[in-house]
Amino acid sequence: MKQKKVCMLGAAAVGKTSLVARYVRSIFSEKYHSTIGVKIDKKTVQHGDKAVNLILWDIYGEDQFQQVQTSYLRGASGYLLVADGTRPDTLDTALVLRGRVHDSVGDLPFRLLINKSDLTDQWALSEAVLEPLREQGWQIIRTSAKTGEGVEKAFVSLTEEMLS
Amino acid sequence: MTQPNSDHTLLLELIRSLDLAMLVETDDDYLRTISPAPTWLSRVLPGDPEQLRKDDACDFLANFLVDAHAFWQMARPGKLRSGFWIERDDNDREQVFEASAFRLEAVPILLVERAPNAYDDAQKVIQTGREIITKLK
Repeated sequence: MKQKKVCMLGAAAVGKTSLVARYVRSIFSEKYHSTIGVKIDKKTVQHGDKAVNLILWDIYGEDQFQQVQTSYLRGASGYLLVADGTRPDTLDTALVLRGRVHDSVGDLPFRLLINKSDLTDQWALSEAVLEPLREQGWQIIRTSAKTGEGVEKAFVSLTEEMLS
Repeated sequence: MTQPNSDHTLLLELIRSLDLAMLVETDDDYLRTISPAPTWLSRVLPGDPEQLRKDDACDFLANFLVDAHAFWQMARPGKLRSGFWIERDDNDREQVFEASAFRLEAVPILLVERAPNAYDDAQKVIQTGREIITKLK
């Protein structure tokens, strides 16, 4: 069976672990636990008549306490950059990480996920901020690990591009 | 005075009681255990403990072994740590591991350990730090 390594990248507390939990186990918890190190999860997905094993590397959030090691990206087929729609500074972190990935492993398929779309009253990221990224060809998906919005779409569309 | 043989036995007993796996790199592709292999080792590095193929290691450890090999080749002092990684066991429980690479008298050594307590401690420190910063914002 084909295996594809997918890295989850983003600032701390944007919901990377929750997105994986939603996608792999269909669960969500409001309780926040900082991820230290890397959590490995696996999910087998069907692509056409073939099965693909996704190896999900949920990498600790980038902040002043922890900086993502680029050696973790070795062998990745794609990645999901996650930002929190209620905290615009997490988009800046995502952009920094995108640059670091590009410098260390080159161009890989990726999606930018703007997570926590269920928190509409706290939403702070305007479409105007995202538009220049869309113009560069970035695929941006609004997600909610809580409701499941956009989660399947994010993983499936990335998988399709990785396999194309 | 303790005899060399009993020193060796004592050392192996120590490694066992610390729940560590101690391995040496035998060539570019293989490792072998030099201490009794804990039962959990097969989860992250399956195979014959006398001849463990690096390619058979779990994804995270296989990735770290690339860096460890370069570290051993450079013969640098100190040790290279993998950082924590978490795998799910057959009962869907999270198991925390950490690996370290270093050289002892020019022999390339790999230590693999289960590290739930160290992980919990590190998580408490970082999470508390983040909560303090959030409150200050």
